[in-house]
Amino acid sequence: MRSVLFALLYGLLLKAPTLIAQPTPSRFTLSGYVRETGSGEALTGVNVYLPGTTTGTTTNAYGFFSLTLPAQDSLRLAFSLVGYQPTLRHLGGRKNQTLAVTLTPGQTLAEVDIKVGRTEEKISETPQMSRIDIPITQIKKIPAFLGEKDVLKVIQLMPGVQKGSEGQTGIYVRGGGPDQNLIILDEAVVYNANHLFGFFSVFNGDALRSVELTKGGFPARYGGRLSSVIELTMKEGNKEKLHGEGGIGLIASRLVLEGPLTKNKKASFLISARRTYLDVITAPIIRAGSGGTSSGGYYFYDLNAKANYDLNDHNKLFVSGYFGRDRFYSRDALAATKLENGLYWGNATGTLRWNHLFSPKLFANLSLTYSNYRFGVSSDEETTGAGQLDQRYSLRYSSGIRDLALKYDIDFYPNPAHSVRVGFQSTYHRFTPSALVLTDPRNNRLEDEVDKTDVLESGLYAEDTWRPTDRWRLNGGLRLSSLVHRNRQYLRPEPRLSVAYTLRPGLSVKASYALMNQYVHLLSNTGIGLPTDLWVPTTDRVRPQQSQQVALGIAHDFGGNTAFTRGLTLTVEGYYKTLRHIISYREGASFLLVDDPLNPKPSTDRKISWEDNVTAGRGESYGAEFLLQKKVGRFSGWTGYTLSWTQWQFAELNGGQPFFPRHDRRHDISLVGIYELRKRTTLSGTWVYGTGQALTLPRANYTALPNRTNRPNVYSTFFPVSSSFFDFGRVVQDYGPKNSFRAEPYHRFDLSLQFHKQKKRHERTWEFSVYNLYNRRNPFFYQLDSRTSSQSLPNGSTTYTTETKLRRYSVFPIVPSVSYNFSF
Amino acid sequence: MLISSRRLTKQIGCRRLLGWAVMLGYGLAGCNSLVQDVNPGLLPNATPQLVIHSYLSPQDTVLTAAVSLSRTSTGNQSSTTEINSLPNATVTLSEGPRSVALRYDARQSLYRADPAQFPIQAGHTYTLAVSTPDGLTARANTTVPVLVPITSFRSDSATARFEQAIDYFVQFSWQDPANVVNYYHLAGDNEYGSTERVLQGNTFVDHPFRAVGSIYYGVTYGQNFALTDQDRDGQVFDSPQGRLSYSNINGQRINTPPLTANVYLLSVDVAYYQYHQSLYRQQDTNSNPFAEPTLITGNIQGGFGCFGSYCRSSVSARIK
Repeated sequence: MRSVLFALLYGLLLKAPTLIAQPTPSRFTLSGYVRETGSGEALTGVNVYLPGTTTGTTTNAYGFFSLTLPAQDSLRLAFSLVGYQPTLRHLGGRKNQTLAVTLTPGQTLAEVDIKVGRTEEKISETPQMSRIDIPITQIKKIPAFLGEKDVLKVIQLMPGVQKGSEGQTGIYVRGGGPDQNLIILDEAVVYNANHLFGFFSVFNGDALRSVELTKGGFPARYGGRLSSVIELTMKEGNKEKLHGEGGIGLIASRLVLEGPLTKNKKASFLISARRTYLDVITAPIIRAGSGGTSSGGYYFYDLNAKANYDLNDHNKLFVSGYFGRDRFYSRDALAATKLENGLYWGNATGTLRWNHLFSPKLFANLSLTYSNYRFGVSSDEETTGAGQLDQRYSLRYSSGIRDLALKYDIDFYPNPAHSVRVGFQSTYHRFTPSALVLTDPRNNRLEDEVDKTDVLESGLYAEDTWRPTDRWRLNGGLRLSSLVHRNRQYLRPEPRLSVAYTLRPGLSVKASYALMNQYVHLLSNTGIGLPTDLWVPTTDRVRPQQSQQVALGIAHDFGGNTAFTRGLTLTVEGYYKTLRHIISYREGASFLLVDDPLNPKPSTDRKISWEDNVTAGRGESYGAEFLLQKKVGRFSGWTGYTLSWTQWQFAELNGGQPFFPRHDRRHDISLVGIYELRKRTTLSGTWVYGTGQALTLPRANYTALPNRTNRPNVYSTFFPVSSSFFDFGRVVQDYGPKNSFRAEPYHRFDLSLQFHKQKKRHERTWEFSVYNLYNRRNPFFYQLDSRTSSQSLPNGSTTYTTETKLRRYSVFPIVPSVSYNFSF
Repeated sequence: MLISSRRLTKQIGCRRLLGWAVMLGYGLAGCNSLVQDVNPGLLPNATPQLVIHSYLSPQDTVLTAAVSLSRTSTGNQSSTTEINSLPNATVTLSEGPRSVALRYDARQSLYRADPAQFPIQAGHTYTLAVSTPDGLTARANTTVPVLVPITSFRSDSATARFEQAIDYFVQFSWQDPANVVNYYHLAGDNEYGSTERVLQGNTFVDHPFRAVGSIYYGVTYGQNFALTDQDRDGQVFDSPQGRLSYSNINGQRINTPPLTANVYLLSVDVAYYQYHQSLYRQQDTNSNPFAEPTLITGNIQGGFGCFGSYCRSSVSARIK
């Protein structure tokens, strides 16, 4: 199979010049790029079609399109994209032509609208299902916590996507875990997309051009994760003029600058920066809370940069990068003890890309990417006595993952019935699961670095989007994925198929099947996506995770030109997904592998390995999703509803019985509305509801009596006689079956009002928003809290009574905020 | 000592930071109203169940079983009923047709019998059955492991750097029986006598005293040390260095040594091993509200607790 794919790739490359030199006389090709008027920004997903027919295509991630048609005297070609005015070109129909098309941002002009017949790609006309485009312009209008617009939190509002805990950006797609999402920023994988323990994502919306979520029916070009692909593309940078955009919020500020690098508009750049000032805000609270002995703080920042250069009509170069850090620190200065603790984590990514146009029908992209994620803990304690340094403890712990990847993709458009993609990707991962340096009071120094693990992950794919008739559309493909670790190689074929059948114009039924393998895993003993979660590879002992998913659904474009139905779409999908070889920590194991109670190895000749601490299991998820979406018009937004069941089963967890993972959610509802009150005033609101999380809480307790293995101190007057037989009792909890407690439902209403105004040199937006408007105390976690009181008895003895209550801890009550945004 | 410092830094380094993270969230929003009592009826139903603890050993001089009732996790609990012992249960230990009833000893709050009436032997399987007048019943089985003798013993001492005292260490070895899964629990104690200098009026008076301390095998004080022969079946095992604990308050207790060290190698059954391991794991993760809790692994059908067994080999040595 591999040789067939290579032959196909080789053939395409060799054939390409021939295709340029000898066009078929009866056909001709229209190709080119579609860009935004005023900025020159490439536009992805632009619908390019012959009005009144079903013939057409869409622009790829670089704004490129290619359409080969039968020769004709003349034709009209339409270009449309949500949020842009559509445009129509009248062209001669016999010669190959290269077009440079620009689309102007703004509402659809009615006149053009009528001529082009439709303004956006119809979901009923693509074979792809389970894919959602999220317009950046909508993201900027939806209410956000403290005004910080967040791409991942908007994705959480889509059906089939569950959120983790309150306020967090963790994403759980169709029963999958947070590690099963392939999050790629300009082709580079982002391993931990969280700032502030997950309350904010690392993506600065101002620097992004597009966001796309795929949760099923994966085309063969995607691989490496089981549950979703979240593809983010950074803006290229304004080629026409210097442009700026920024915002000042309650906890963070941000700035984006973009502009041309050369006068001939062939090169442009973009840089963006964001930083929080939470450390400044919280420092007095922490200091006051500790009576002045403690200080601490937290901040995060991120930087994006991108530059591109059009070498000529056939070659373009892009270089882009991201760097972000979170840092949390605390200092305690007590009389004789000084404590300093720190925690940091962050991603760095870099991408170098080369677009090459072999012919009007053959587009290629070569990417070289770098990705690095690091997490670290530091802890120092100094105890002084009589003015001299007495004792010093010091701990440095870090873990991380580093990727170097090469990716080559070819898009081939032989005729309107076929759109072929082939390519390969190879990633060299280096995992450092844990590195520890420890110094104790006796100046013993322990350096315990778990062996770095190098693995090579590769994928080779071919896919074709085929329209055999006007009613049928198919996307079929095969991906061969592999991983090499030491002498062990895994080689897995991954067939993919999506089919759409048009029942009548605007209504189609779709089905898909996808088999996916995942070679990197996230070990988490909290389930809420803390940076302490550990990325580990597939090895000769830990097998790849695998999923199979089938989905069936309908897609309906309501069509028409009434204000209500224009751009209104409905999708209803059902899915069934199985997961194999998913991994989890054994009970009681944790990310700090030293000193693990499970692994008190008496022998020093054997290092403690993370592989000893994991257990593999399986899972299944099924459900139905409903999405009614309106992307255009004065009133836009969507309604999403998900009904789903997810169960996991591990031989070594919960006594081998199946259980609902924390993110199993029976019902999930999202209502999102954006209403342009006036030309310069936007009102938006979101309401979300979700069944409570499945948690494990104590339902009973009892006094456990360990065996007494040694002689008690029989000479002590404090020693109770009964302790001769058993060791001292300890109260332990009975949790019942794992995750048998259901948290209370989560629901919340957010509201936002934006006032836009064009000033002399810039446009400004004041945004007033309220998070959790009706002040719902949503659960973050539950805990049993005990309080003990004493009572003296007449005989002189004292009895102690402990009162234990179940308590709900919430994080955010009603939170109003204001932010100021500007662009020039 | 190195390992205990690891543990300390782990605790201050990570749990403290998690605490800081929570505090930060609460600092943002003003915390009191964000913590609310919840109706305990939301918790899964929990009717009281029998809690049984009994560990059989051929080397023991008494057969015992503690029987109590579990409690709901919320509500009031008095220290006088902390163990919640049940005095009116019927407790029977049997092996095939042989059986013995364990009688309630009110002074000790447990059920006991004389092993002379019902000797415990390695390799035999025993059943413990408990029933109450309220209709609660529970039972469990255990097969007593074979004895694994200690084959060598060593002791050592070193001057402690900061405590101005001497640390005493012991270590021992044993041959793991091949082709069978073995579980071990290491233990030990040391008995010592000395004089204690006590201020009486204006003068110091020396009083003789005796005490028993424990031996700690490299892990945190108060934690057990258990292991399996997984991946090392049939090999010679060396115990970690065990540190003798004794009370030596500077300037008040003098002439502490000599000490009599007793080390014990318990060959335990799987139920004993898993139960004790899960107890310590739960203790380790309980203080972290974000961690997935550890479930206790018991072997009592119809109740909680553990019915386990072990064979003990020991070595005694006088250390000067």
